[in-house]
Amino acid sequence: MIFLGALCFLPAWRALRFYRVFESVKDGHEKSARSSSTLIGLAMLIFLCSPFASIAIFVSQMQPPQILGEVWEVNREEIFNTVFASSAAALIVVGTSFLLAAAWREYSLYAQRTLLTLFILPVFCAPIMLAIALLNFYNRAGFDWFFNSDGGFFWNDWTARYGLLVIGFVCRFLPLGTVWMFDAMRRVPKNYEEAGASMGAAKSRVFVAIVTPLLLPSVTGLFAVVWALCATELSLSVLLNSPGGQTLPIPIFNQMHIGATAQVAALSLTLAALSATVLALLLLLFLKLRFKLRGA
Amino acid sequence: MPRSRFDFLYSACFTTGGLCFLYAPLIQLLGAALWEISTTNPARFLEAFPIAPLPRVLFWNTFWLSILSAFLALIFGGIVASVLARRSRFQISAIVLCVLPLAISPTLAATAFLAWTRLPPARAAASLAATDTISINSIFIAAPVLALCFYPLVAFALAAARRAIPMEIEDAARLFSNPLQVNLRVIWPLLLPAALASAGIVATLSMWEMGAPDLLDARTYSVQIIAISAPSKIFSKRLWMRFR
Repeated sequence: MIFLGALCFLPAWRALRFYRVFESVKDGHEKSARSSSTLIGLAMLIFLCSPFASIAIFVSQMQPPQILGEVWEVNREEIFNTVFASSAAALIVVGTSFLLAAAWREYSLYAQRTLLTLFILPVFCAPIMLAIALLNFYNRAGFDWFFNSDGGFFWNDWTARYGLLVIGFVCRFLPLGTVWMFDAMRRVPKNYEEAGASMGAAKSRVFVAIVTPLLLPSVTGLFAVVWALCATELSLSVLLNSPGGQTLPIPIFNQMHIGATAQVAALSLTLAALSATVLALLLLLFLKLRFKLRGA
Repeated sequence: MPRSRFDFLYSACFTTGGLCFLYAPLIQLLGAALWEISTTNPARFLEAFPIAPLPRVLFWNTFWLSILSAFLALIFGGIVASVLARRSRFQISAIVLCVLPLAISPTLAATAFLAWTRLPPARAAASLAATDTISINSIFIAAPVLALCFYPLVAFALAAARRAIPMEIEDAARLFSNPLQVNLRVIWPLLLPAALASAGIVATLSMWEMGAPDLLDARTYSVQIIAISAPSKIFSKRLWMRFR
């Protein structure tokens, strides 16, 4: 709690100190500095409400504190499922959107816009409806080889557990990934590739050696965002989970309805910590890659 | 267009595969539903319109929840964006702090709110009976919770738009007016498209959100769908029995 308090309070205190420095000065220039520090203070208040207030409430609700260890022990499978399904879905989304954006690079502007619109449109389908559509579509004998645990392939144990859930996550977030990667790829200047091609490099070599490293910050950012969105997605998980493949939002949702507050707090804290860790690590990597590219 | 035939084939196949993957389940669901209703009981189409009491309540709840969430997210996001857009020593901290709410899903935020206020969750109060009408208070509770989860979307969009406005425009306007007038008459109209777009995204996400409104007793379309289709996880069980 002290750490969380310090984390929230220190930036606000610095903002207030910034305000105090300019308080005594009267002319117009400092007036704008004063209003800026007021805005910083208000922004800190918003940050305090979300996410720190939620985390503080979860920490205060965990009575006794060792319940965190017990909950981890009981829900070990759900924690693993969350990490595995989110990672698999994020990897697929990033890879597919990268390949799609690469495939559209040489299309005309009109074709690019049409394809992008077509890929964005499924976003306007609510996740609940998407889940029902996926269940109706994949619940047929033709997909037994993929979803049935006795399908005869080495992957069937995994696909029976996570297959439909990962497909749901990919369906949900692929439009976001496509827009993100397409925008990032459009920002890569064409003359870099032309310079590489003029030195006799093959097109694929130019793509791997020049374009891909320039896109790494965007790839990292997209992976982090999709991972966090998949890990906390509830609407799809409620309908698409299979026995043995439940992710953390489902026990949180179910236990909240039966009033198990301490367990819910411990699980929520675990889920928030998982997502925040992935986001923070990949954000650092993103910033590092961006500064490295700028430096180069 | 792609230069070689292989490139064209690769891109055409990959794009078509992606489109089929995204659209096939939706087209099948909507097509089957439309076919079934139009062949068996066309009068059921009227249930989709907010005429009967229950669809009307669901429609207005969903509408007001999304509008209020978007409005609040615009206020919160606007304040945070003004910090993000400035190149100050707080910028990196503000970016990190603004990313963190993405780790708290609306369900977790609603859970925290219920734990803080010690209110029972909606389903425990048996509020999902079909004849109940919702009190407006639950919308006023759910909207701030959703806005506090989704404001980073508005903040990042507005900050990017604010940074894209050339400083010369602002400087020129400042020669003739005070900062408030400059913000209201010059900057805000330029930011309006970004503000409306991001508020629209927040409204849409709020409209679709199921976990938080369900816990907070704000009965929207999503909550109603889940109340009808998944109280006993009928779909998952059926699917699993078939595949096992």
